[in-house]
Amino acid sequence: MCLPPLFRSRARLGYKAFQLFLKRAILRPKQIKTFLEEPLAAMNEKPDNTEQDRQWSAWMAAAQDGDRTAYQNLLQAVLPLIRTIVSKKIQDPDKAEDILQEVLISVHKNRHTYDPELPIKPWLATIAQRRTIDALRKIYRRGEREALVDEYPETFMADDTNKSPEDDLVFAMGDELKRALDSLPAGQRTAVELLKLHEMSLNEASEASGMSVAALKVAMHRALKSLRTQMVPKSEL
Amino acid sequence: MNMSTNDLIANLSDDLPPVKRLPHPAKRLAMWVVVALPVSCLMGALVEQQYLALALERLTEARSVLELVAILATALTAGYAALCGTQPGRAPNAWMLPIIPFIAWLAMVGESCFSLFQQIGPDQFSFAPHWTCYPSVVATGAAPALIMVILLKRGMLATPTITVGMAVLAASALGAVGLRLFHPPDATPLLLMWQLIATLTLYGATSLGSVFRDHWAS
Repeated sequence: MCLPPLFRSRARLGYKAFQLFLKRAILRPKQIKTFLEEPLAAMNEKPDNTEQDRQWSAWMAAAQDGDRTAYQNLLQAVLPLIRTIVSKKIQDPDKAEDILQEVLISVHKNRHTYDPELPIKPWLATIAQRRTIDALRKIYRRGEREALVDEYPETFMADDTNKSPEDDLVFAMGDELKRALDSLPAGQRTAVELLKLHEMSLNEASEASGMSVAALKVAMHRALKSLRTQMVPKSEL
Repeated sequence: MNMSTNDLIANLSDDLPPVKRLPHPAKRLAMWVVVALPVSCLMGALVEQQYLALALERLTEARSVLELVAILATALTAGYAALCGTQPGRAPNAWMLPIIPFIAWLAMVGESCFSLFQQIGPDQFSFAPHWTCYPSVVATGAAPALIMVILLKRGMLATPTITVGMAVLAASALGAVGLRLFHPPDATPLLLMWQLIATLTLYGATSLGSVFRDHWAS
């Protein structure tokens, strides 16, 4: 039987954990409580982190009582830890930053679930991992439904319907703007096309059109004035 | 998001009312049992129209007591695991606690079914649901399930599938305590079996529900 890889890995992990649980329950019953409350393996406390943990716990406890400064200090201090957890699974820095912010919002919403008697890192790590997994799920699901394409696929057989948007003035600017541009004198139209549509500098446009820079400026000014007049809704006139 | 992380931290820090800490899972479990068990028993007594004294008379056999202990242990351990699941980072391995009592409960249900099968033979034995028993199942199971949902909503589901599964098992088991006390014992194995099937169905339904919720959210 073919099981999904995520299910198989979880089942294997669960089986190993249960084996360990039985072994400890039978051989060393006193360790059951420690085992049950063992923090996540990745977040086991290191001796040099203890002081930092205490500081973070104290800040969180104060934040639960409404201390804003302590809360701000805590959120700033935990950023590197959360960023590390998120970036292990999300490579894109922009997406990782978005998820980092979602983790912070989640920490904020669930701050009442933190018990100051427990170490804070497993609490933070669990929230960060949960939100990262949620984000990964969203990314995978979106990936199943959507695909990035370099060119838009053909929609109809007619050539007019398959022009690229950049070439198609009607698509890019709308009928009204096209009509208004067509009605401009040639010099003004050239100025708008080169300076605004092709985003050339004045010198580049001057070279391309053979018009002087001053003439281009004047033509552009007049063209904009004319376009403004033509495209303002009649009700506003 | 367009907001920078530092702006977000500043905004979150500005809006910081004091919060009431979530009590320890053991305390919440005790509250759940104290409120839900009497209500479950009361509902069972009302639906079955029986007195508690009469119900306790059924518990003269050691086997009945053992079965009740296994059911109660399943309810307590699964309830503890479910409530631990609402506090991120707390006792991540607590889901293992109900395994042994649940296996014991299942073994006793299986053994009862087997005995019944031997007594009445294959022609009379039926897995068909006894619809007349369903009011009792619903009446005894409603309060534990409802109160458990309220308790879960107060926390954060860090591991939703395991936590919801444990909660469903706990609520079913605590409901089964009331059922075991007030329902006629001859039908108990079948009822428990159907209750377990209902538990598994609910578990599947909640898992599917969470999958659809994620799907819609994305």
